Amino acid sequence: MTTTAGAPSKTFVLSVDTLLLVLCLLLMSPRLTGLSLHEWFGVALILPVLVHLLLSWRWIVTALKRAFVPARRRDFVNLLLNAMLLVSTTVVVVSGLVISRVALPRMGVETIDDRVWRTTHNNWTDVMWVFICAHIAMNWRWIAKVADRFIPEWQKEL
Amino acid sequence: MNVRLAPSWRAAAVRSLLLLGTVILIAAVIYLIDGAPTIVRKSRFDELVLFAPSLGRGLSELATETFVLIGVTWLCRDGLKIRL
Repeated sequence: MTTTAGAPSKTFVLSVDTLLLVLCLLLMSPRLTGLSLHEWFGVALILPVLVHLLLSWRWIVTALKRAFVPARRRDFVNLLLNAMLLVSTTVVVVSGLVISRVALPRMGVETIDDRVWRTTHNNWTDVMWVFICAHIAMNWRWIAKVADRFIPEWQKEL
Repeated sequence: MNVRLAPSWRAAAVRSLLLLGTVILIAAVIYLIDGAPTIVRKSRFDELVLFAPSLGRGLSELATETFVLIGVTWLCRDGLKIRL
């Protein structure tokens, strides 16, 4: 991947992605954080997700253009996987906000811990997790290449 | 370190609005499916108690999720050949 003039630095992109991954891992461990922090981390997830999507805009536009070219089936599948990640993340965050016990009431918004919305939240979390894994797998070569700069030479020789 | 999110602030705003529109659309669909939250369907469990922070159980959960993440990612990469 060559550096394009005006393109954000790879270190910045990797930092945002790492933050997202750490947040997701913490969100998947509510027994470690407790429900209160779980909800605040969920609210905090919105900003890095937005930044991640804005940073990926060029890929999104290119993928949409290529999606329906028959010879580029892989592009279509990747677009579908990423679209499902967006859908599942949205469902998880929105349902999480709807059943919020701490974060939204703290902001003055009354909520009901509705079991239908809770089931949606729990089920789609598993779906989202699978698509996160697919997303990491898809971008693995780029991640490994950029992360390689931060591994000290002496460690690479081990 | 270049941290530009878009070519201009206007472009960033337009793109953010497009994303917001997509999110609202997805949220509307799920709202139509699940319906408005009602007191009749209120959960019988107290999630604040259920997810009371515990270092032992919490670290075990974090380790499990990390293991699942690594395993499923490996399966996607090597098994399903998902790549750019």
